[in-house]
Amino acid sequence: MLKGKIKALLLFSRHKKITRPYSFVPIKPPENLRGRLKVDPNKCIGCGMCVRTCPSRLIEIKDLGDAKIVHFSAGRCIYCGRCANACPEKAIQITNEFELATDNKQDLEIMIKISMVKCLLCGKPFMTYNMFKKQVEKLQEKSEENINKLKICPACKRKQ
Amino acid sequence: MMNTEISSIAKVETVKENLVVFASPYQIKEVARLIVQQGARFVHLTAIDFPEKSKIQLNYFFLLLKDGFNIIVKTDLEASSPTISSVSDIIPGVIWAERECKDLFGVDFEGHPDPRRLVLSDDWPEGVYPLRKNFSYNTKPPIQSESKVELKKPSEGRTVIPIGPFYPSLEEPAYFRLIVEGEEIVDFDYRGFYVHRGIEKLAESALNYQQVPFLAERICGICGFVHSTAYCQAVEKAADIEIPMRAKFIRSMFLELERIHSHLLWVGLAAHIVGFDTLFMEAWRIREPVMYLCEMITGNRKTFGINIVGGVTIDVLPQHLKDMENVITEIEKDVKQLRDIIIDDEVIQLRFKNVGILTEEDAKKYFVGGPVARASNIRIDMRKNMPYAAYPNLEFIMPIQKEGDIWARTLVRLEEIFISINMLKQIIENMPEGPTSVKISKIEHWKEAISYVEAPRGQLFHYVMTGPEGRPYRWSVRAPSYQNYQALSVLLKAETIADAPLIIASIDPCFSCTERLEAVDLKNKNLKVYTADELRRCSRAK
Repeated sequence: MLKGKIKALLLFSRHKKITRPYSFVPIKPPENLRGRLKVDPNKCIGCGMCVRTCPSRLIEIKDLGDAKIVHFSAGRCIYCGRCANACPEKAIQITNEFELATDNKQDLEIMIKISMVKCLLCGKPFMTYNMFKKQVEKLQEKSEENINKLKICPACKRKQ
Repeated sequence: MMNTEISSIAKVETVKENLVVFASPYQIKEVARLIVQQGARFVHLTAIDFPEKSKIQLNYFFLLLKDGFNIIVKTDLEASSPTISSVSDIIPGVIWAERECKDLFGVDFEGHPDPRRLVLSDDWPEGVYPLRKNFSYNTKPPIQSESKVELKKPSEGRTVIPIGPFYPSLEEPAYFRLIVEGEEIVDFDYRGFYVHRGIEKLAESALNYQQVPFLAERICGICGFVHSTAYCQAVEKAADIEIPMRAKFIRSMFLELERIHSHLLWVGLAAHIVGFDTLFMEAWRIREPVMYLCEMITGNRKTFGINIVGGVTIDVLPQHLKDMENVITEIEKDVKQLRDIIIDDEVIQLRFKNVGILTEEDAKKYFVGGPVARASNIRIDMRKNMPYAAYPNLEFIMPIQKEGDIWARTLVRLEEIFISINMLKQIIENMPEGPTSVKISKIEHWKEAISYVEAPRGQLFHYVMTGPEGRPYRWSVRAPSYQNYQALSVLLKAETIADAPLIIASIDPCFSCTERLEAVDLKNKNLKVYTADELRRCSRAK
């Protein structure tokens, strides 16, 4: 009995203080901790891959005609990082920022607006501006004629 | 042999590793008796609703341990009035599963000894069955105000000692009623499922195959990874997807890390219940590095979120394996000392030995699994019996104890920590190179598969039937605690009240696992539990 208690005492006294004085002394989380989402409005092409992969179904893309709104109700986020994985443009990033407690749910919401490109012929918005930018970059010969060709919607192209 | 015996009365088919028996409803007792006589373990009973054929199909799942294959007994019932005789006189472990089928599908079991509600809340209306396909997942049925669930009433001279509805030491909602005569517990009643969240329904109606693993992982707050692994394995089996070896090793690695921290958590809780708080804190201190390690590798200390159908989403770097080696060598030393302290401690021995005995016979009768079964001399471990993930490549022994008391369960769990550490060492050595996931193409419809995982608490069972909408048509989960709970009526009988919390904790119950829907308010006036209205009034009065 006594032997056991001495052993116990030895083990228990080896470690002095385990609890960390967190909140008084900040903690540096591991590099790959999955925390707050960061969305780059200049990269998002509005393809909707993230909408389809998100397990909590919190991403919504609203079509306003001349703009698209991508809305993350990140208060429901489970921080799985699937959207960041699925994003073809790497517009979504998962950061290791973990101190997300807030008394206002709106603080966690992310809303980005992507403007649309209008068709030169029919005038309907048909492609996000970021997507257009990407296609222009891909062009070998960046002449005005080629760029203007990109600004024609598939429906009008078919008519031509 | 069994094949021929059953085929004389019913149609039998072999699909992969499953033996599927199509029986008529009136034959069910006979078939169940035949199967149990062959030494098969009853695993679960669940129903599937086929509205276009207007039938409800009951599926009884059995497992033949020695041959390592499953038996599924299928019976079709008319959806308008599904009635079948109860098999609870042959298999006592089926009682909860039959009550659940009655709640969620409206199947009537004739001759059921305890046909009360199990899963649904007290204010849920009669005749609304949430898991039927015509019930939309976002429906909110009207509240039925008068209380329906009858609690067991004590006879003359006996008293009720309530524990709960909020269980004090485990800090989870569960309501135990111990019926006592003097100091001795003579009967026991349980009302739980306060945290039933309709997870199965959500997966069957709103998510797709790759989203469900993240929902599955949230079934449990301690051993979540076992659920996502079991689900992914079931879909992979149904769709014939072979995942890369590296993914299998990574899954095994996290399953073992989870087992280590879960068992350490239990040791701490058990010590806390007997009042040995120093040991409780020490056990949880040892547990912490394991959690840090998981956080470092996966990005989360719990709910790793790395499982998808077809593999895992992260890769383990050589640096991670080195870190892991350091952590496990360190905790191995610590756990050894911890074990010595527990074994040498007379007070713990007095509290644990010869208390809450589960005999081998009873353990077999209720088909318990995991450390509870292994402490009652039953050789069952799904890692050995039905090897999955990387377990066919790993060597390990199964710790067995004969006594069946809390002490035996403690020893088994402590031993398992060392076995897991040993397995992790093997994993570090043999981790194969290669990709960690495969791309999945289209998953065929109407395929079914069963997958088992040895969770820290016992045998976990997942059943998936693939559906035409890119999501499971039916996904059924049977958590290990579901089966272990039912043995509590045996464990608690003839024990004293003082031992009851420890006995309940000794099966390492996990309430959220067991109770996979919505909030409940209990309306029993005799017990003076606040009703929802009263609470609302209270809060407004402030």
